[in-house]
Amino acid sequence: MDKGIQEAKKEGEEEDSLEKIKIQLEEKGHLSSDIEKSISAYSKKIQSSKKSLESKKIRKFFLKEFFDRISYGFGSQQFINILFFQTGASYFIIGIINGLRVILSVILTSFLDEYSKVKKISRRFIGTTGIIFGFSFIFMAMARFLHSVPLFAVALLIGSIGAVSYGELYQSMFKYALKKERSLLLRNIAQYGLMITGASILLAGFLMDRFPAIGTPISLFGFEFRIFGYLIAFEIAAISSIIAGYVLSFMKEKQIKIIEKRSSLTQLEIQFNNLKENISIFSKNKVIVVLIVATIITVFVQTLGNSYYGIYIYETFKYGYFKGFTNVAVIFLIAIMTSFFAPFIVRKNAREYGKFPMLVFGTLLMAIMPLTYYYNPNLISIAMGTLIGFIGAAVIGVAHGLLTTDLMSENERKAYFSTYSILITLPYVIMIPLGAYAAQLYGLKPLFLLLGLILALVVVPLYFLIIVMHNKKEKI
Amino acid sequence: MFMKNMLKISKNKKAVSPLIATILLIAFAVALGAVVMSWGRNVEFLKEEPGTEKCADVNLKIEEINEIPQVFYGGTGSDGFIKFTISNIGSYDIDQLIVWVIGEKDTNIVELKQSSIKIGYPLIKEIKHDFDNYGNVKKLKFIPKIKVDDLIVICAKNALEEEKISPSS
Repeated sequence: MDKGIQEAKKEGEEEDSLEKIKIQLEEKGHLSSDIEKSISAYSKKIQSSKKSLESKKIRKFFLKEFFDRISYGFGSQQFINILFFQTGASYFIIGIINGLRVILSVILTSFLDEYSKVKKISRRFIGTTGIIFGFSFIFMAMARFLHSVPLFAVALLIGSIGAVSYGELYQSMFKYALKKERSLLLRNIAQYGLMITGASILLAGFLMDRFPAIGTPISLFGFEFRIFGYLIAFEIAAISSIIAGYVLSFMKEKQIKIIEKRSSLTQLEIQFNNLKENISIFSKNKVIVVLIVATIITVFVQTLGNSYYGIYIYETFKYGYFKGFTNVAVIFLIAIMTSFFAPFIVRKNAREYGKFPMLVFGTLLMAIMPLTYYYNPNLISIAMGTLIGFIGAAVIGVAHGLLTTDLMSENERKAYFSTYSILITLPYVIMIPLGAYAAQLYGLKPLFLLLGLILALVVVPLYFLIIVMHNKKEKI
Repeated sequence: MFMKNMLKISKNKKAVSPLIATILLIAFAVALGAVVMSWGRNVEFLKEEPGTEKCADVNLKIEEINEIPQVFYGGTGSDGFIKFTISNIGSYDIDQLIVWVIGEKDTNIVELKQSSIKIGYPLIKEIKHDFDNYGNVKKLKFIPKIKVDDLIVICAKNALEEEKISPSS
C-alpha cells in the first residue's frame, strides 16, 4: 500500500494533498479502511522523518553557532588590536585600519543586504567567507610573529570583509531558511552563546599571559620548542571559524528565489541611485538631518574608542591585577554580560521616561566610559566605566530605533534605513584619520578625554535640539 | 531662541514630562559618572610587576682584560659558538640569564640552564651559535632573572648589552 501511496503521490506531485491520494487509491480499488490506515501510518512516517531532518538541521546550526562563538571569543577585537600594536603598528595606523574596517563593513553590509534580496547566494559561498575569516587569524598570528605591520593590516581587513560577508549572508539565510527552527535556536543561542564567548575570551587572555609573545620554551618527547599564547589563541579562533564555515556549507537551505538577474556592478549602481533619491527625501526633514549628524559623531567616538580601549587597558595594567591580556578579557567579559540585562533595562526605562530622554541618557552613559579611562585609570573603575558605556550604547540603539518610528513617515523610514549606514561612513574618511592622528600626537589619555567631551558637549546638545525641533513641529 | 523654546516647552503640559525626565536622567548620569570616576582612587595601582623593585639591586658586568670585553665568537656554519664571562656586581643573587643573540640574519633567544650567579661571582659560559641561520653576531643582550620569594622576576630594564664581540683566538 505504501508503494501505492508513493505512486499516487508521484502522479499528483503538484497537488499532493492526502485527499487526492486517497481518491486515486480508491479509484485503483483499495478498501477505504486500508487506505485510511496506510495513509495515517505513512503521514506519521513522513512527520517523523521531517522532525528528524529538522532536528538534524538545528543540530548543524547549533554546532555552527557553537564554533562561531568560540571564534568570537578567541579572536576578540580587543586582542587583535593589542597584537597589532605589539606587531609594531602606531596608534595612527591602528586607528586608520580600524576606521577602514568599519567603513568597509558598513558598505559591504548594505550591499549584501540588498543583493541577497534579489540574487541567490549559495551556501557554499557563505561557508567560504567563513573559511576566509578563519584563515585571516592565521595570517594575523603570522604577521605578529614576523613583526609585519602590512601583513597584519591586510589580514585584518580581509578578515573583516570575510566576517561581514559571512555574518550578513548567514543572517539572511537564517532568516529565509529557518522560520520554524529560529525561535528555539535563538532562545538557546542567547542563553549559551554569551557564556561560550565569555569563557573563550577568558581562556584566550589566560593563554596569552601564560605563554607570552617572547615564547615559552617547552620540552616534549625530547624536542625543545617555543610556544606562543597568541598563536594558540588565534589558531583556535581560526580552526573554529573554518569548522563553522565548513558546517554551514553542508546545510540544506531553502533560499529565496532569484527575482532578477543582476550583476554586482548593476546592484552598486542601483544602490547609488537609491542613495541620491533617499537623501533628497529626508534632507527636507531637519530633525532627521540632526539625528544623522548626532549618529555620525556617536559612531565615530565608538569606532575610535574601540580601537584603543583594549590597548590602553593592556598597557596600563600589564603587570598588575590578573596580568595584561586577562585584565582586558575580564573587563570586556563584564561588559559583554550586559547583553543579558541591558535590553530589559532599556525597554523598561524607555516606557517610563520616553525615547528622547533615553537618547540623552544613553549618550551620557557612553561618555562615562572614556572619561573614566582618563580621570581614574584603575581596573575597578575602568570595569565599571566600560560596563556603563556598553549599557549606554544599548540604550542609544533601542531609543534610536524607537525614535525613527516616531519621527518619520513610512517612506522616510525606508529611505533612512537603506541610506543612513552608507551616509554616515562618508565623513569618516576625514574624521577617523584626524582622530587617529590626535591619538598618535597626544597619546591615548587625552584622546579619551576628547571623546568623552565630544559626546557630552556636542552630541547631547544635538539631541536637545532634536527635542526642541520635534516639539515645534508637533505644535504646528 | 533656544531658551525661548525651552521656556515654551516648560509651559506646554505635553512637553514638560520629557524635559523633566531628561533633566532627571542627566542628573543621574552625572552622579553615576562622578561615582565611577572617583571609585577606587585609593586602591593601590599596580603599575609595576611585584618584585621588580628588587631589580634595582641587580647589576651585571662583562669582564674585561686589557680593555677587551670577554665576549668571543668562534667556529663556522652550524658549529659556531659564543663564549663570555659575566659577573654579578650587584647586591642580589641572579637566578638565571636570558641571552639574546642578535645576528645579521635573525635573533636567537637562549634561556641559559644552570646560569645562576651569586653576588660577586663570575659566570663563564659557552653557547652554540648557528652562523648559517643567524649570521654574524652583531650584539648580545643579557637579561637577568631573579627570584623574589617564590616569584620569578625578569629584570628587563637591567639588561646588559655588548656589541664588542671579538673572534676567538
